[in-house]
Amino acid sequence: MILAAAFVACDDDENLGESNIVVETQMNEIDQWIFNNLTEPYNIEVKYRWDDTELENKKVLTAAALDKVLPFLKTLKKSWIEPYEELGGETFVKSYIPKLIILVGSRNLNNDGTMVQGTAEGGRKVVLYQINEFDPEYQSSSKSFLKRMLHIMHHEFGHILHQAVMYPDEFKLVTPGGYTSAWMNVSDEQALNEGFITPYSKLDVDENFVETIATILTNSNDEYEAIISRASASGQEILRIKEEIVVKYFADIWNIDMYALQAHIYKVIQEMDLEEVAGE
Amino acid sequence: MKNTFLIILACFFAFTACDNEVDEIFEQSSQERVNAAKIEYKKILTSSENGWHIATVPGEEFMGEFNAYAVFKEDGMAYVANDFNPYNIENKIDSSLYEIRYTQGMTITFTTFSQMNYFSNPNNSRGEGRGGDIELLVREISEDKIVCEGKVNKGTYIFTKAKSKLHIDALDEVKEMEVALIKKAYLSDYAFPSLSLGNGKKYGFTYNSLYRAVIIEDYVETAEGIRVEETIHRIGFDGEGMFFIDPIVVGNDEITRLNYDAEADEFKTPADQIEAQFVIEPWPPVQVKGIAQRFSRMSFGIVNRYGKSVKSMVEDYRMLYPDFEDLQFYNESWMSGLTFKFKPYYFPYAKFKDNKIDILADDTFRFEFDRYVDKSTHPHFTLEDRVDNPEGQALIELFFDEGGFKLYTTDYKYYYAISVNDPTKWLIIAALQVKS
Repeated sequence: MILAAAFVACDDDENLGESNIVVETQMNEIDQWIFNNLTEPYNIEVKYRWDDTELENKKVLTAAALDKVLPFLKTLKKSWIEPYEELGGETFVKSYIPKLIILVGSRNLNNDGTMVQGTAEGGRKVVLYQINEFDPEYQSSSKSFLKRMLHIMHHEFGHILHQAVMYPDEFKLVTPGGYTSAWMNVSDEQALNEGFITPYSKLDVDENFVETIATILTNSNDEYEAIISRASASGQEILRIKEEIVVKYFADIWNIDMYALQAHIYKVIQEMDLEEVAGE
Repeated sequence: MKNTFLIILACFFAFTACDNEVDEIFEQSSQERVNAAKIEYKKILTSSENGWHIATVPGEEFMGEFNAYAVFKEDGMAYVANDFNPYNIENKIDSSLYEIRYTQGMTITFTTFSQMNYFSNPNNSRGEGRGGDIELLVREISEDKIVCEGKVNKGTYIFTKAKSKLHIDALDEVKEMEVALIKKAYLSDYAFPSLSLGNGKKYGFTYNSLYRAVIIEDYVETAEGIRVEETIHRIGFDGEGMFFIDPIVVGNDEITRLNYDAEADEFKTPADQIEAQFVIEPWPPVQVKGIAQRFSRMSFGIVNRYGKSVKSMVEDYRMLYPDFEDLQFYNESWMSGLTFKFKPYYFPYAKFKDNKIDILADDTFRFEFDRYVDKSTHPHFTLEDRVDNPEGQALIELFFDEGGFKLYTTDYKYYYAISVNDPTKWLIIAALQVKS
């Protein structure tokens, strides 16, 4: 009887009818650029069209503006994907880079007046907010904006990496008792003095690890040193231990010189003419 | 026998219930029907030669009707223009991508940012939005009309075929009506705007362009004093004037619209409704307390003063105050208003009623106000005159309180104003030298 059912299932004369899939959107210039520069080479999908199923239900948000999408993506590619590719290799980037980027035009404001700049889920999806405020004409403010976005991307990329190959247990033992779910009540200074690079890094060990990565890679070496110097002596000592573990992890596991990557990213951002890149 | 019959009957029903032949209600699968609807909806959207007028009532309470126009193209682009943003001086065409989707029903979705997102943009509304929606659920659709409801905030969006391709001209035409009302209503900060009925009854009438709503105030005399009863009415504008989404009920009658006569600069009810007209008068026909309440109320009743036709408003003031040499509109971060500069040789007669001030003593004088006051966003008012300084212009600030108002001058003299029988007449007493 099972065999009979199997043969019925395999009947290739059955008319399956028309496909249920309707391609609703036509490829425009933006879609084409995304396909050529992100989807085909890196398997990254970018959603810039409004899709509330990807977003927080209770938040009031608006879509990305058409004229902001390409300038932002072009600069992001130059300052995030390309430096990693150069120092970590093509296979490394293609294997681990987040596969879905959602762009939202407006800010994501919380009731308490704070703002969410980006969110990520499961090492696969990253949501970046307020891209309608990215304006390459204003280089300085847009570079600051870009750096904030890069912090999110480095942060999320860090999660993907440690989910692929876990960081050494010794990182967990550096500040085992310093974690709290009320991290938002901790000031920058307080976090630094306790040996945490940002208040958010106090949430848990994983966040601590990726915040350390993101802070190193988002700043120049001088800027990073300036952040460390704001911590108390004991705080600095702890931060140096964490830095050492992170740098060694990148070198041993991923064969990436983190300081070289830091310098490279900084140089790219410094030298990048946003208007020129946006217009390419 | 009876039992046997019942058993047979039960078996009959049981077999009927077990019939597994399901009648096909639709010829196509649900997905096929959705796909067909998407194609059909897009065909309708793109078929309107002149695009669509979208009468938009956002989902936030008290929001009136705004106008949008959109042309939907085959390539997924929509070209839109609207009068949503009260700070926009010029109407412009904007573009957005759009899609027909199926989420909780068929939707028309503007998928990228444009002016259509104004009411759903958290950046201009402290994160909360103002009742806007990006996804519009289609409730009714025909060749000539599409009725939509906002998916989240439940606003209404009624699409009708646009009469002309000149959408900006159409928006400008409607804007003229709003500007005409704003000009008049703006004067409400300086005088008393009212809806005056044919039977002599008057209501306070304040327009709020952010909400596109008017506040109707009924001043009711009670044993305890004046009681102000307020009702909020959502409105909209069209080429003829303004209409009330929420009609004003007067006894058994309803006022549903006021048509604008540009030549006479009047908003009046049409002939088929009870006689009513929007008028500006120097003061409301009530006692001081009522006035003070009115001017002290800072929340809802403030007319939006930025953006629209500031220059033309000043022109209106020039007509109202012919004896002033110059009028300047000023607008700072925390206040705005008008500076009055008197013509030479009018001293000491400021533009008070009949251009006359009676000086009763060195520190006491008396006059009747004409239309004169200049209001800031705070409940105090400034005017320049030459009572204190013939060469320059002393600044006098008026602070309203429940008892009337007080005057302060730049030379720190303190005045107090009291009403004399008639609320349009005031006695000003220089009571105190605050600082030497």
